[in-house]
Amino acid sequence: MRNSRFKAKLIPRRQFLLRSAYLISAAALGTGKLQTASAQEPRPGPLGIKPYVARLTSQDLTRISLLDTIIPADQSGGAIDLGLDTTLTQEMASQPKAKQWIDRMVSSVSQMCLAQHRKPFYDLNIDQREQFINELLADRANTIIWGDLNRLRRVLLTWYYQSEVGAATIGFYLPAHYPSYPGDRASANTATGNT
Amino acid sequence: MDFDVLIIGSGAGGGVTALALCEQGFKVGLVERGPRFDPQKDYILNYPDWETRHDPLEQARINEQTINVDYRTKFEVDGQAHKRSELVYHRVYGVGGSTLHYQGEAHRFGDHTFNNKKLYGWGVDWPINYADLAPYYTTVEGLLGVAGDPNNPFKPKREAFPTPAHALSPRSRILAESAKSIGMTALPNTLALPSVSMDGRLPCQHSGGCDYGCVFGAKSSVDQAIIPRAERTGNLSLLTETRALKLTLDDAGEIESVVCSNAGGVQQITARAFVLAGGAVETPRLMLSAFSDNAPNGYANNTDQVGRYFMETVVAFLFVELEADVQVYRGPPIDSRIWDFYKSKDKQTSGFVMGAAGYLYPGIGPTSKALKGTSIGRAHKHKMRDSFGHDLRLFAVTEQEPMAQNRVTLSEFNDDDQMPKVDVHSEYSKRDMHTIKVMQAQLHKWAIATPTKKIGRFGNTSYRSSATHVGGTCRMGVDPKLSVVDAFGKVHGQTNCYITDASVLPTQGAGDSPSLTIQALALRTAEKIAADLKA
Repeated sequence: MRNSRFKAKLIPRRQFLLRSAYLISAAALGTGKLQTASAQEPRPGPLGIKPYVARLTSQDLTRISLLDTIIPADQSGGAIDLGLDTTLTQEMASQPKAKQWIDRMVSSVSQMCLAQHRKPFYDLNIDQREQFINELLADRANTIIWGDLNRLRRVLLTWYYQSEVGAATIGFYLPAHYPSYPGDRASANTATGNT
Repeated sequence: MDFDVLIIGSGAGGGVTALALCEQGFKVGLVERGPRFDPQKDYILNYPDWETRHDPLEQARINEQTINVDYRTKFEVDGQAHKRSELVYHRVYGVGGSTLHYQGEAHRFGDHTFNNKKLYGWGVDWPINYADLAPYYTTVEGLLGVAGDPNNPFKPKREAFPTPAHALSPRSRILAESAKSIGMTALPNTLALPSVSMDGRLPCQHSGGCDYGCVFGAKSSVDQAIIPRAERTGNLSLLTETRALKLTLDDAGEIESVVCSNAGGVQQITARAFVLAGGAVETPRLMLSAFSDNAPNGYANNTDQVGRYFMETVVAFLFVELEADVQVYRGPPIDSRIWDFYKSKDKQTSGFVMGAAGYLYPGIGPTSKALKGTSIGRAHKHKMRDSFGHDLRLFAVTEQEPMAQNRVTLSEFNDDDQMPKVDVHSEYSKRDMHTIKVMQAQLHKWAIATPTKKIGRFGNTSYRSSATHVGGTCRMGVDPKLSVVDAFGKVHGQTNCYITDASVLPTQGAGDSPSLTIQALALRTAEKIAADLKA
């Protein structure tokens, strides 16, 4: 199979992040509203170590869910498995303009989702999330969100399919990895009618 | 004298001329405008972001300095606006010239293609015939390790190729079957992609990436197969990243020196003989921009022939999506070819050839494919898995009818080096347009016979330019009033100048690729140069 090795290596990261989303979402639902990072900071663990989950805000979760919606995991890994959430965070940290439009888009998606579904985007199931984003991508009337989402789509798909693992999901390998294609003179001759 | 022979341009013709002369003991200077590339470092297919990465082999096209590209978008014929797209001329600045990005097609022109006028009543006959060129073809094929099947009924009888034909790629097997079902014959192409190791180089690895430079150094481009041999003689001085700006002429109108510029400054280089091999646009530009009292219309242009009979690639194509997942980009890029229409079937139609482009190019790469449309999510991933590697372009190529009004002339604009650019006037004749229609009909027939998911749209170069094989402009002939060089590539009326590039081609071989013919002619011209220098 094209992706078995990739799948085994990267799925735990996906599970970790999505479990985090579930925990925070549950916390948010418990209070009846979404909370800020400081408000939802969990208690320190027994050894006083704050778990990573504490650093994820609802904004982070929406962003991660967006990535997981645009390139989800199916029989092969998705954007999160490939660590594109980290790449995007790094991009935002180093490029203020990127941070600006990504934050703007994530806020818009959050608000529009809450208005339409009465729950945060990251709480929707994959069918709902895909449908929601597809509707936004089809609606050119809202130029800013349409433009930002398309930009994110473009960035993510480029990163994904330019990566060795992403390209491998469609069976593409750069030439340096190529063995010669299978084939022999006899079958080629049969096809061409040569003797 | 700086050199025995100074050659301008290290492409198909210039490189082979240099080798032949170096092997005979002549000191040769080879001027190349571009750098010498390192296949393992410089070519973009070494990098995962190849689809969006700057391709150094496209430098010449992207930073076009020679051609006034706006010219064709607004030229007029008989007072009527006659809009065409800009001339997109694909060539490479670099040691090896356009062989760096060619697909390795190495065709001998069929014997009938030397006599279009006599046999079919159009174009012009060559001053030589196939038999004159055959021994030179054999020598060049040996240097390049050409792979092919000698039993091609559409070509002149011949000996075995230096290396055996490649097995057909999976895509070509499908296309060969469908061609057979409609009475056409797809045969293994003849390719300068050795199927066994040559000179210690890897044989072709079937990566489909010839277009971007062979990362394995397996393709027999001039930098790999020819230049190292010339260097081993100790007689070659390779002047890279050096631009030939101008020919300086003496009182008699003969070339005295060539003014060249590089990072070190401007210098005049002298030699006993000069070879122009910059291609069908650059060579006439150099000639037309050189003046003296005896050459008021440019060098060797008293009969106004320099720059005339420009010919570009005439191509029709049809996009299809194959049903089978055969990873179309795998295998030599154009590994099969249909020659059934190689000879004209009637008086209105030129001969043409057909094939399928399955090579890697950005339009079919993973990222380009992924970015098409607006879909996302699982549907997008499914579509990628389901359709990637199925997109193919069926194409047919013919030769443009040589016409005097199709020509390269000096433009009113100068380039960055303050040298005149050129305007390229190129219109298609009724014959060219009719042949395009016939080619499209045959492509459609082939597509319908092939198991496809989708048959896309037609395209052709009459409105969308994509010129890879340009020729003419300094054509070979017996009569100086109708040609620029004689049958040996020597410029009419001159004692020390020869041309060994595509500009000497009187016609373009019914759509076959010209590089092998340019190289065979170059070998023949090199013999003439050696004889003249020894006389």
